Amino acid sequence: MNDLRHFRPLFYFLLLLGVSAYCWAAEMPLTWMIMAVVMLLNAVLVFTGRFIPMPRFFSTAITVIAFLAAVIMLLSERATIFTVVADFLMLLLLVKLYEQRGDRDVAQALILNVLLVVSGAIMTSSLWFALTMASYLVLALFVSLALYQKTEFEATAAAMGRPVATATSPPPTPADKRQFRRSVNRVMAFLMVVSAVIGVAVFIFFPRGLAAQMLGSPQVAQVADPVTGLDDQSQVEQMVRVSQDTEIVARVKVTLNDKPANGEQALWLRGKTVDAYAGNSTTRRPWTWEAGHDSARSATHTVTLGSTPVNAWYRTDKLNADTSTLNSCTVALAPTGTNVLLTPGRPLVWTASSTISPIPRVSFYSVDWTARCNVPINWPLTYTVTFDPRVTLTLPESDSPENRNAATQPTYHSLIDPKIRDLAHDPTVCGVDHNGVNLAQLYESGQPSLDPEIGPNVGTYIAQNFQSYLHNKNNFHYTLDMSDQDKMLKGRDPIVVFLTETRRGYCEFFASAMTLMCQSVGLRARMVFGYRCDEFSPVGGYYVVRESDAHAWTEVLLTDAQGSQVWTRFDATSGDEKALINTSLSARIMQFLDLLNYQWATAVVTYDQPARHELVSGIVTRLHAAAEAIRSLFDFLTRSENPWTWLISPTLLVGVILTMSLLVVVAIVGYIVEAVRLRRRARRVGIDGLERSDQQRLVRQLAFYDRMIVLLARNGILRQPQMTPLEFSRSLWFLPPGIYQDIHRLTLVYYRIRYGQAEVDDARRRRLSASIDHIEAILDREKFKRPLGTEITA
Amino acid sequence: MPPGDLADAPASRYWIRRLLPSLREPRRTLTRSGWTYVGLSLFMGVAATNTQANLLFAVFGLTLGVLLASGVLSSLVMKKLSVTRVLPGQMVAGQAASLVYECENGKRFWPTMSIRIGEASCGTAFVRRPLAYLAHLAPRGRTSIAIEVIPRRRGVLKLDKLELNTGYPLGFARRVRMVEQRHSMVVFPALGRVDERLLKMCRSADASGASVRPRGGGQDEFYGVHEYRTGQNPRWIYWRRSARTGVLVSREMTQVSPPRIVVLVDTQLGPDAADAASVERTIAMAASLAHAALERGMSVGAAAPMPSSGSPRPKRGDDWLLVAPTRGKRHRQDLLAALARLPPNTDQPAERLIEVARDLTGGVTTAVLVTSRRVEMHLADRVRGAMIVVQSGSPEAAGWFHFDPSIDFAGMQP
Repeated sequence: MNDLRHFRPLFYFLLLLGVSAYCWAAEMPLTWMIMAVVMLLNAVLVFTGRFIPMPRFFSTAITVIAFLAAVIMLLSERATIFTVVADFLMLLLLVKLYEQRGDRDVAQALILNVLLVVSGAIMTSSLWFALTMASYLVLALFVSLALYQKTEFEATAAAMGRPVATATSPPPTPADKRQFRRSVNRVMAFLMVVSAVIGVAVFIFFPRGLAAQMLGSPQVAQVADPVTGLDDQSQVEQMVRVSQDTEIVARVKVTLNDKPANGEQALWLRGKTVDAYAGNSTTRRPWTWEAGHDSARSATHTVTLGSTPVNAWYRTDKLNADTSTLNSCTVALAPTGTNVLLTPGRPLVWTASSTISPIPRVSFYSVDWTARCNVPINWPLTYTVTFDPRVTLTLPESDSPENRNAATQPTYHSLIDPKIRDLAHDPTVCGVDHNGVNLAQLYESGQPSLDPEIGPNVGTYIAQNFQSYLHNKNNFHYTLDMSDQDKMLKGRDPIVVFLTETRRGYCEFFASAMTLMCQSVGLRARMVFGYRCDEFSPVGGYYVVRESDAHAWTEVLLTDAQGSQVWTRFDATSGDEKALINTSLSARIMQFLDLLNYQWATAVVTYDQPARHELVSGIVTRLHAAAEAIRSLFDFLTRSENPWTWLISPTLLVGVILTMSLLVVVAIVGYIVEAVRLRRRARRVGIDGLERSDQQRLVRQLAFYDRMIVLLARNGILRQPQMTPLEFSRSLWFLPPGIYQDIHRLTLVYYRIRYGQAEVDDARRRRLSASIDHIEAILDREKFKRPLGTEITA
Repeated sequence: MPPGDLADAPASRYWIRRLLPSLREPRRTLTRSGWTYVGLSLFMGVAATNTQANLLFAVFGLTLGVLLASGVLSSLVMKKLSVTRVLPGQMVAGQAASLVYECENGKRFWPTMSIRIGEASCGTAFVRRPLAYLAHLAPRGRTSIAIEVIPRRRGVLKLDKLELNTGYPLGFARRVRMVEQRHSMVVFPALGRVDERLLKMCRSADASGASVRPRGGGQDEFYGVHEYRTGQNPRWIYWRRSARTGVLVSREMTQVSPPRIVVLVDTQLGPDAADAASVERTIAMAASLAHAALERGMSVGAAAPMPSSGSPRPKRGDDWLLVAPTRGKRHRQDLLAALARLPPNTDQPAERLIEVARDLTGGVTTAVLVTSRRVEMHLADRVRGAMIVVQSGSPEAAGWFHFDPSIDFAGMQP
């Protein structure tokens, strides 16, 4: 059982698993390949017996040089502390592998590997990494157990001065090995259960925020590829490289009118807005959309992320009466690498929590009802937003007029190509009323239409006509592949090319065209970058927002039926609002796995002090409630007017106590009597000289023999003390042959039980009892007389 | 509690140890690995607190849990473990003997794993400290572990305590538990192979030729006649005498009496330290000769100075070890045990020894004087020719006695 040949393969597998887990978390495939090759080479050398340990001075030199390099990198701030430390650990691990001489080096390699995996835990919040880490820790525990036994065994053998192979006596049998495995499993199970319980308890109850950053602010790992479309500037021609990644950006649970969304409608998440197109300007970057408003002045409110709900608009004590359709959503945002926060509509009340330090701040912009963080979001963030689906222009009453005025007027306008203007004014595009009046010209004149259907909503009709025009599949086609148009777009306004020549493009082309066309007729329009999500998980009850859901659409400022000015959404790219709900088995399995990830992100990764406080408070509340319930029950039972009171009357209580005492006494007496009875039986059958445990085991097993002895004694046949049971049975030759053989057989059974470790089961007990009944019956019937000279006295 | 444990201690000591945890056994010490692990755990805690990363809090909790669980397990594996020492039938200095530890795990569910069993109070009594390793013992299991031990010295060997030691499961802490078990045993002096020539010399008749002491009951030569009794062998009926006397008589033949030797052991110690080794070699030679002679059926006796105080410097008039020659296994044990306990002396010279042992060496008994010194024999002894002198340091003695080269006589003194 001390043959630990399997230790080495397991050890190398563990090291490889740890390195793989870290490289997965840090997204370093090349590093993983190098490490795997070097480690496997070491393993091959060791197993083939060709391994020669590196000299200690050489390994020390490498370590010192690596340490100095790490310090230099840290001081020059070329990398975060986590990556520098992890790289250093990986190098140390390799050095330790190539200089291993004994068990101490193996143990040190294990420790380094564990630290590496822990470094990976800081870099990612993935559920699958956590599961991998848990598996790794279990395996590491097992390997540590095996290493300890190996070390201890070899040390003892050395102290005994014996070779390892002969140091254990006696050599283990296959049964011993099986039992050993069982024992190791028990120990492992105990270790895992206790450590898991303590781990969960520390995770839940350890106070958060206490002494955070006491050793300085840790640098959070930067997102390698920020999500596209949410940068501060968006160049149309760069959109050909838009990512079609299915990486999950967020999971959003939506409540509409106090009811959870069922996924019938697509989810629109607003990120940022732009409303000034540079066209072919030489002063700004050409063909770039920018926010035409002054962002700094339009920020109305900046708050620190915290668990306390904050109003998105300062000096708002209560919600506006217009916002009767209250809706909310919880957004579990993955690290995006940008500052933009996604909201479905106009945010009203904001609740968020942060597990990083320093705690970020969020700014809300009244000009476009968007929100931004002061730092790029490189960590998982969960926030809850109460929002108004309508994106109105008007601020709540309590807001200041100065701010309102400053926020509504853009500081520069789009440079619109005349071709776009001409197209927008084309009656076949912008539409005409019943009187044949060009709607675009009518809108520019500021007059309402005489067409009763249109009336003052000229702008609305214009915008709808523009959308219809772009929706027409005979005119325009949606495509993501713009590679063949690079030459055509070069040096030219891509929107003009799109509208007049190619008529092919993706969402940004359509939205840009719509926005510019609206702006060209005098409508206030802006382009919104965000996400249009139609993937709903019925298992989790949330929308799954992926990078491929990135979308651009247009918002046009129109007057609604109530006379309010509302930014109305127009999606020139697609008119299909229906969400996609996939209920196939494979889809459900994927949704379930995604739900686990979601729960992990919201319940574990973003677990913070408020959540802890809530949990602890909940536990305390429940305990109080339980105590209160018990107290109420007791009060109820002891109330004198309670009809159940007679159940606890003193007389009854005394009676119950007396009965219980009597039962206890009876039980004690019964126990004593039984003990005495068994003791006598033990003496009769000749086992009173054994150890108590053996006596207790055998006295019940040999009850049949005792019964036989008592039966024979009743008939005057007594066994002499010096006779063994076998001698006694042979001395009964005078008995009828049937009885003689039965007694002899019973005696043999006695021997098998007494000395042969046999046991009597119920069936056998019944057969033995039947034999003794048979003997009794014959003895009673025969009433035999012992032949003279065969008297046996005790 | 297992036998020999704290419960067997005097009541006052028992209660003192129960009340004062620091004195309560088993003792526990943190190893270097344990300190490293504690440091790592603290580092995890600091890292978790500094970064507020939730996974790190969980890992910190896991490390604490492992530490706690390993502490509990190290207690569990020691619980209800009874270890009983079984000494071998005999022990000879310098020779390997088998020491057995019988272990029993009284626990119903938990196994016992990785226990080191060693002698806590043997000092330097053995060449290497007795150490056994119990890798695994199943619940309610029993096993015996036999280890080879080589006693270093002759004399009384006292073993008081067993030390049970474990670092299971991960070696973070060492738990030590002492089990009181008192055993004592006499370790015989080193026994070597004796050359046959010496034994033949011991067997050969002395100058008087009276090496045979006839006695009846044998089948050798005619010894006498006695009346025939029913049941005796009719072949031995002496018909001629029977016809003459008219009474049925039977012959009685002689039984050859085995040779008798008495080993005189000169244990006089000189001022020179090297003499101690010589004295031990002398005693070992004497024991080897006695052992070999007894094995060959001789009657062997012994004589040596034996101060009653046991002091290495016996006073005048102290007792002597005088063992009459006889045979048998029991006699062999007693004789070797007596030789094992011999203390060195500085007062009683060999001449005095010879004089005191004269009663034993009289008659047909061959005296063999084993000494480390040069002894001058008196004329009377020479005339009698009944004494063989074996000088332990002489080349002849080296040829007669062959000991294991690894035996160190210098360290054999009890």
